[in-house]
Amino acid sequence: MPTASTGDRPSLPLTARDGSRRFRPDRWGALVTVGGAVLSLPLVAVLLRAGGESPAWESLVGNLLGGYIATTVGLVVLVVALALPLGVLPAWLVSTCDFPGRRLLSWMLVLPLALPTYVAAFVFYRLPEAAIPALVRIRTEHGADAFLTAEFALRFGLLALMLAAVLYPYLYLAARSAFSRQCRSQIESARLLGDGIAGAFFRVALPAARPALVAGGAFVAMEVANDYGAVHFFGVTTLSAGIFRTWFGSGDLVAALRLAALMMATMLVLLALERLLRGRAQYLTGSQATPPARRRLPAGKATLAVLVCLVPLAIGFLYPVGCLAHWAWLHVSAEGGFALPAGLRPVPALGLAAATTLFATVFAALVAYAARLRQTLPRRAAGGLLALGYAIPGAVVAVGVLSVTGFIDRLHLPLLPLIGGTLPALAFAYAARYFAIPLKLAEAGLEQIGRPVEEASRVLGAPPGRTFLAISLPLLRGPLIAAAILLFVDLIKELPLTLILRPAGFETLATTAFSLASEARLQACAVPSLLVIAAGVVPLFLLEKRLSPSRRHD
Amino acid sequence: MTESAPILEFHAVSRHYAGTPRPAVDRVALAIEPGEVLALIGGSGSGKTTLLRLAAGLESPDGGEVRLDGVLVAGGTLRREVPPERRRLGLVFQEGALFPHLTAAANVAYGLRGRPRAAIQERTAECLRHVALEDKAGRYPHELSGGERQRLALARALAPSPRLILLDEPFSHLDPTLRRRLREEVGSILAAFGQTALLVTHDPEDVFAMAGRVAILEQGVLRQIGPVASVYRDPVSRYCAESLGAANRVVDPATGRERWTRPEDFRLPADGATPTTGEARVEAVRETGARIELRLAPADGAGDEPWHVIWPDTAGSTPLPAPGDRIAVAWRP
Repeated sequence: MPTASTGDRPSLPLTARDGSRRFRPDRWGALVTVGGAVLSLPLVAVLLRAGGESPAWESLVGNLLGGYIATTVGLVVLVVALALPLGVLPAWLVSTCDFPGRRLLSWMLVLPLALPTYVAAFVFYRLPEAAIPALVRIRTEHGADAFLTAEFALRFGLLALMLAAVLYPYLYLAARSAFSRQCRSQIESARLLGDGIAGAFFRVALPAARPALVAGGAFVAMEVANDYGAVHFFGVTTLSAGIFRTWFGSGDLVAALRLAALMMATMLVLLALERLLRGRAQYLTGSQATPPARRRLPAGKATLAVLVCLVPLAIGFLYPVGCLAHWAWLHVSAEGGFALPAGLRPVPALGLAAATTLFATVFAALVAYAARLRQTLPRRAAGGLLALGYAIPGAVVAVGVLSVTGFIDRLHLPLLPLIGGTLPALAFAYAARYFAIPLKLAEAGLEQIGRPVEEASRVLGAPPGRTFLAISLPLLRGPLIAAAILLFVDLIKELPLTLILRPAGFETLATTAFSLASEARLQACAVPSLLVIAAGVVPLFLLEKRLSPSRRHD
Repeated sequence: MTESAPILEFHAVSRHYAGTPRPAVDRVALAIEPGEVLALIGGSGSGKTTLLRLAAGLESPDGGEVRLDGVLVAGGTLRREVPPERRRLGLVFQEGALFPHLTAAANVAYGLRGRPRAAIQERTAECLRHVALEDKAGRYPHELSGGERQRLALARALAPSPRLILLDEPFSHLDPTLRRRLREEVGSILAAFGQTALLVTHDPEDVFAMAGRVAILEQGVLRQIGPVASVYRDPVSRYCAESLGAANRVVDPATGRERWTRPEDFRLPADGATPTTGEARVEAVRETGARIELRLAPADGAGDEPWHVIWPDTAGSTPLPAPGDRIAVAWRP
C-alpha cells in the first residue's frame, strides 16, 4: 500500500522489468472462477451422474416422457398468456393514469409474490368440487372418456389461472418500471401524431417495453416449469413433478437425473431464446426523462381501472388469503389455540434464510464487480453459470447437492464432520439455486452506476479492492437491499430443496404448511401458511416503499 | 527520469476493438512536454477519447508503447500494463463522474489517501478555493449546479498533483454561456498550477482558450499536430481546416493548388498590397450583430464551393455589395 507525504512522489515502479501485470495473481478472476465452480458443482454432479445405469429409463421415454413435455409446454404457454394481461394492463394503468386508490393498488399488486404457489394450491384445488354435479352429468351422458377429459381440462385450466394470478407480479413489476422509464416525449409524440391513448399503448409503449416484458415473461415461465408443490396438488405431471415421481415412485435416481439434465438443456435453450428476443432491443430510454404526466380518469373509466387492477389482486392474493384466514379462525377457535408443530423452530429457520441471504448478496456484489472489471471469457461464463441455478428445478439442485455432500462425506476428510443433511449444506443449496437474484440485481445496479465513477476512482489512485469498498458498494446499497429482500422472501417460501435436504426433524414454516396440507389438514395448515405470507408481505412492503417509481413524483 | 523527458509519449499506439472494421486508434505517435496543454480534436469516432483512455490505463493498446515520464506503462514487447491507479494522472470526465455519495470535500480528498490528515485537509481546502467552491465543501454533488460540478471534478483531479491531467470533453454538457466562462476559468486554473494537460474536445473554442498545441485525429489517424495558431493558419486538409473552424477552399488558378483560408482572411484588393485572387459573385449578404457575412460564388477556376467570408472593416470607404454583384477578391497572405 503506497503511502506518501508529498504530492510529487512518483508512484510508478521506475524500471521496466519489475512486476508485469500479466504475471501477478489475478485475485478477482480467481474469486469469480472459484465461486462459480463451487456453486455450479451441484449442476455438474447432476450431469455426471445422469450417465449411470437406469432400469426405468427406456419405459419412461416410451410411455411418459412425451406426456411430461407436452404438459409442461402447455402449462407454461397458457400461464404466460394469462399472466400477460393480468400484469401489463394494471402496470399501464397505474403508471399512466390517475384514479382513486391508484397508489395503494400500485404496491398491493405486488403482494401475490408473497404467496407461495403451493399455498395458493391448498385453497384453489378444492374449487373443482363445486363442479362435481356437472362432471357427474358428463359422465352419465357422454361416457368415461369425456368425463376424464373434462375433469382434466378443468383441473389444468384452474391450475393455469391460479399460477397466472400468483405469478403475474413478475410481469407487472417489469412492465411498470419500463412504462415509468419511458419518456414522456415518446408517448406524447405518439398522441400528437394522432394515436389515442390505446394507440399510444399498443403502438409505442408496449413495443418499447418488450425487453422488460420478455424478461418478466421468462421469470414466469421458469417459475411454472420449476413449480413442484402446486402441480403436485393438482395432479398435473409436468417435467418437474415427473422428476419427483420417477425418483420416489420408481426409485430410479438415474432416470430422474436424466430428466433433470433434459430440463436443464431446455432451460438453457429458453434463456438463449430470451437473450435473442431481447437482442438488439436496448431501446433508447431517457434516463432522466420525465415519465408521462398521469391522466386523471373520469369517474366511469376510473371505476373500470380499479376493477382491472382488482381482478389479479383478488384472484392472486385477497381470495386465497381470505380463505386461509377463515380456516385459521375455524382451527384456532376449534382447538382453543394454535400449537406450533413439533420440530418447527421459527428462529433457526429464519436465521438460516437470513444468513444465506447475507452471504449470497455480498458475494453476488463481488462477482458482479469482478466480472465488470475485466470482461474475460471465464468471468462472463462464470456469471452465466452462477445464474443458471435459478433456471433449474429445486429438486434437481437438491439431488446435485446430495451428490456433492455424499462425495465429500465419503472422502472422510480429517477434521471435517459429515456435512450431508446439515444446515450448511441446505444453505449451500439455497445459494446455488437462488444466486441469480442478487447477481442479476447487482449487475443491473452496477450498470446504472456507470463505469466513469469507478474509472475516476481508479485514476485517483484507488486499486480495484478499494474502489469496490469505497465507491461501488455504497452506491449499490439500494439494489443490494432490494436483492436481499427478494431473496429472503424466496427462501422463506422455498419448498423442494428444504423438503429433500433438511436435517432430520428440521421444519420451516413452508414444510410445516406443506405437510399439514398433504395430510388434508387444511384448517391446521392455514396458520403456518399465513405466517409464510406475512413473512413475505412485510419485506415486500419495505421494498415497494424504496422502489416505487411513483415515490419521486407524488 | 530526466527533466526534459516528455510527460506522456505515444509510440505507434493502436487500439482495434473486436468486431469493428478499422482500428479506433491507428499507430498514433505524439508527445506532451512538461507544462503544456495539448488539445486532441476530431469528430465523433475519431478515436480521441480512446487515446485518452489509453493514456489513463483504462484501455490497453493492441500495439505500440505508452510512456509516462519516459517509463513504459503499456505495450512494448512485454505487453506490460501499469494499472490506472499507479499512473498518477488526473482525469476529468464529460459528465464529471463525481462520487454521488461523498461531499464535495470528500470527493477532492479521495485521491489524497495515505497522507497525514492535516495535509489532506489543507490540500482539499486549497483546491476547493482554487475552483471557488470553498463555501460548498459540505454539499453533495446533486446539490451543486452543472458548472460547480465540473469545477469540483477539476479540483478532485488536480488535488493529488497529477503529473498529467486528462480532460475528456469537460464542457460538452454545459450551456454555451457557462461553457465560455468555465473554459476561461479552467484555462487559468491549469496555468496557475503549471499543469500539464491533455484536452479532448470537438469544440475549437476549447482549443483556442486553453491549448498551446493541437493534434487533429481523423478515423484514428493523427493528421496534423502543431501550435494552435499555425495549424489554424496552415491546415493540411479540409478535415484539419474544418476541425478548427469555418474554412474556404481556394484554388490557385495558375497552379491549380488548393489552399484553405479563414473567413476573416478575406480582403478587398483595394485595401492594401494583397494581390487579387480572382473574381466572385455575391450570393447573399447577412448582417449578424457585430459583423457582416457574405456568401460568394467563386468565378473562373478559383474553386467550385461557395466561400463564406467576413466583410472586412473598410470604414465605410467601400460600399457593401449587393447580391448579384461581381467583386474582385483577395486573401490575407
